[in-house]
Amino acid sequence: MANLLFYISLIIIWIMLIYHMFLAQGGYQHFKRYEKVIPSWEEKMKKVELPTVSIFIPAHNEEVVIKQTLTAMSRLYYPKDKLEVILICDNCSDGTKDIGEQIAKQFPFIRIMETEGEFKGKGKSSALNYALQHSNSEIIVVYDADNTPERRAVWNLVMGLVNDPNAGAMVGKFRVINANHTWLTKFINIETICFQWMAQAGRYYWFNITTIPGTNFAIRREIMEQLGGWDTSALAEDTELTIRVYNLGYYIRFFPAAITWEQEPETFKVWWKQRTRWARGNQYVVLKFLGKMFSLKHKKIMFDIFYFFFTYFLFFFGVILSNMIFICNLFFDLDLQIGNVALVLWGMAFLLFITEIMISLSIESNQLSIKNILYVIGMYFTYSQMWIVLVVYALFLEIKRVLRKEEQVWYKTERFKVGEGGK
Amino acid sequence: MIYKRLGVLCGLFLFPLLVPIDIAAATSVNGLDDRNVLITYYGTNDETLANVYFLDSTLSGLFEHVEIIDLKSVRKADIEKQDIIIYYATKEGANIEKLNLFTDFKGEVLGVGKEAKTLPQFRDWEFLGMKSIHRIGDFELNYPIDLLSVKPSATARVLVEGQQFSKEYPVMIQDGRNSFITISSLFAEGRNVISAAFFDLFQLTKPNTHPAYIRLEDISPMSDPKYVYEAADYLLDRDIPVYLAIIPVYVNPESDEIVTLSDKPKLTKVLKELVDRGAYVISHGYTHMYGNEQETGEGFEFWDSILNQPITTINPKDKPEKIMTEDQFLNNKEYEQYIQGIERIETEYINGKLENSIHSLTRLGLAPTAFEAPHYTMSSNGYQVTSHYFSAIFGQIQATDKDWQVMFSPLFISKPSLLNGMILYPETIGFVDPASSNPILDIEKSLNQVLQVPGSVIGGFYHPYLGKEYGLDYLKQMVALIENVPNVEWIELKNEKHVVKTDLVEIVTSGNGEIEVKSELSWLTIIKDKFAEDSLEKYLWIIVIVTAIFVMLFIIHIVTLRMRYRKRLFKETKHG
Repeated sequence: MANLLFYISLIIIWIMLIYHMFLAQGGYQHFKRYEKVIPSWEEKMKKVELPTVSIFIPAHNEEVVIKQTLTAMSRLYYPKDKLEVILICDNCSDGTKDIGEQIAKQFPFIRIMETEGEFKGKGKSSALNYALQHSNSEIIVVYDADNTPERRAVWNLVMGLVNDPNAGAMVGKFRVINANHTWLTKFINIETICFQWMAQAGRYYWFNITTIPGTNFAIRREIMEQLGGWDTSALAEDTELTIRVYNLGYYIRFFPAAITWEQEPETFKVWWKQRTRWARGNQYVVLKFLGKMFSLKHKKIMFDIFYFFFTYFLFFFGVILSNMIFICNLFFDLDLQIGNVALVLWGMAFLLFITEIMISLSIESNQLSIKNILYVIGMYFTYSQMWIVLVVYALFLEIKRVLRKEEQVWYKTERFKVGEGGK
Repeated sequence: MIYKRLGVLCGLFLFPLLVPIDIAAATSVNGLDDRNVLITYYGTNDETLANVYFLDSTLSGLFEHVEIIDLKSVRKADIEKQDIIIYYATKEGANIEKLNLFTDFKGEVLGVGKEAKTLPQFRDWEFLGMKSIHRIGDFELNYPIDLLSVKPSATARVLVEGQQFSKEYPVMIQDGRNSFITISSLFAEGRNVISAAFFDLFQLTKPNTHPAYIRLEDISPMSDPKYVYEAADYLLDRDIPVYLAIIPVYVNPESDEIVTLSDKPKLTKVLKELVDRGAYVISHGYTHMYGNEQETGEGFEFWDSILNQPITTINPKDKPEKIMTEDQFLNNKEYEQYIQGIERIETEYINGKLENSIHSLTRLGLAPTAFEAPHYTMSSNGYQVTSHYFSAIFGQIQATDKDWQVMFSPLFISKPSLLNGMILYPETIGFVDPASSNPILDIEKSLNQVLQVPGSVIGGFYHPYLGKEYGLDYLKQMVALIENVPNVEWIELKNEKHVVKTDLVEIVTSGNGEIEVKSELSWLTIIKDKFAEDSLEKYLWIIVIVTAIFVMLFIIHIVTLRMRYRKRLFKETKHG
């Protein structure tokens, strides 16, 4: 019995590890080739009439960060007659709107909107839907309120859509602006770099699949209208949208030339809240689509839903099972028949973890430092383990919610002033 | 602890599925005398039981109805229906009243062993005392045997004589309806002479043919397909049926290495080809080993050879303990419970092994039609369990539950009661033993002994791996010896009625030359068996290797990226 459970957990865990191994390789390959198209794409941008672009920035009490965000928007490289930046104030009780209006006075292409009626106070999806109704540009770009995109970010996203007609959306890369502030942001920095280069670039390389990350992406308006906007009951509106875009027959391209910098939680409490929302959101998506998996038109995305199912359910089940067996084995003799290979496998898993992360880090300049490597090693035993607890907690909340038939509640991520925390 | 309880629970639920169906009971040996034979005995020591089982095995190859009843349990009614009664006793003190039950018996009576003289039939016989002989019939004994000297009456005829130096003593003597065997050890060296004499003693028709077989022994996943093929091909070309005794799993105890037949496609292909050409598969256990200290093909699978006792643990890593004796218990009831518990474990163990063996062989298209216990060792309970799966068994019989070395083989195809209905195809002439100075001469000697017995089976085996060192020479010589015997009839199992059966598999030979295989093995059982075979570990090592390759690849990537980054930095500083 114990043996069987042990093997089950081993198999589940290793399916995931091997999958990620291929993703890491794919990410590296994508890194080596993604820039090659840029010269010809730039050529085409000179020839065609550029599409009109709306940038949506949903904001709920963002006074701490909004000035910096809008300033970055004002410096974007894109013909201003084709660009509008829309700050969507959703149920703000602080100075967000005032700050926004001040800046808007200087830059006519910045518009301030306030959600109203049925859209008000319902969260990000709802705010985006409101803006969708009140704008008419050909391309929609979304940024979170804490983002500072690089100057060419929007240009690059749009260039991707102009040149690649089969791509329904173009996804850029995001980096952590406050990486050096706390031990937590250091971990998150490493995590996000790996997410971009393994999950995003890797999946795009092998399967042409990228997940819309909620910020720094461009999507064609016709698609958003065809889909009827964002799903307001989804906590992870981005994952949810991804699946529906694929189901229309488009793919989503990962184009890391478009870069934005965003703030990450600096305290454990904020991190916990934000990540619980993500985990629950993704669990919701898995459950929403798992049932209709076989009715989806485009089977490729089935694979991705299954991947999410694996990540948020099976993998953690495997890890928890394996941990339980480990602990039980300390107290009782479980008679596990597996020999040395188990130890070697554990060692290989750890080595994989380290090298995969190091590849991703070495793609980004300045990231592969001795200090970061030490953080990576520490991460395995701390940050990664925190995720296990979190996913279980999220699952518990999600089950409770479904049982009580409650609605989703959006927790906004708390922001930090730039310079706060300090180096 | 919880998993253990779960195991017990699972066991409870599964139990009804495992209630055995007696498949062996339906089979029978052809052309037997239909007189009723009773073997009764006094005493329960190993030697008594071994001799009684030998008598039973031999006689069940001659008579249709043979039963064994302990003297203590014999009733008047048991005696009345018999045509022949055999009484074996070497121990004094048999109950006079019980013995008197035989007084009015009008059929033939055979007494065996010195204390059988207490039977009423022998009251007038003149017994003289114990002697020792070193020759029986024409056979020079390696070990002298004790004999009860008897003075033949005027009407008596001596069927077998023994010799001590120049003095002769009757070994088998008949006077009217009553006869006596004066030695008590039948199953060892005297077996051929005694078996042969039964034809005269019981006025049986002597068959003029000898059934024969050669087994290709100990074919395991480590066997070289080349030599297996060569040996089998040679036999098949000469129209000699091939019996492949196959062990489906190889376990190396030192490295814990496990190799299954499915890991050896070449060998499996050869075996399948041979089966297609008519070779029979004999399930030779599952791993041919028990516990940690033995290697496949070397170890005993159904007997704990280290403690010389039946199997007491299911998990090979649990260290077996010596089975306790009755005097270590307060009362008989507790002891019996203890023994029952041990038998349950043994039963579960054997069930698992046999099912695994049958399933894994069937899965590969090598459906077994018979069984052969590794080293022929098994307890009486083991034979019971085995009889629920097989109706045909090859080899010899372990005579007691206390010592595997007490082993015998009758000379006829028989249906010993110890085997609970299974038909035994006895091994009688041994095997090519390269350790011997003249292996073929050894076989020839045994063969000549066996041939003294009318209708005796010529059963021997050959290890195909010998081909590596000796080519086919030994096999050819062995075959030549057997083919030289006039009226040899090679045994074809497909012409006899046999069944191999588990819950999921049924292999039927209905006697018309066909072997029918019905299998309900699903992918689930296949996966389960795969787990049981534990070859998963090998796949895990493959994962380790693949991962290691990737880790190295990643390190190369990291170094490349690093160099590229340095180059860029250098350029930037230069231009900047």
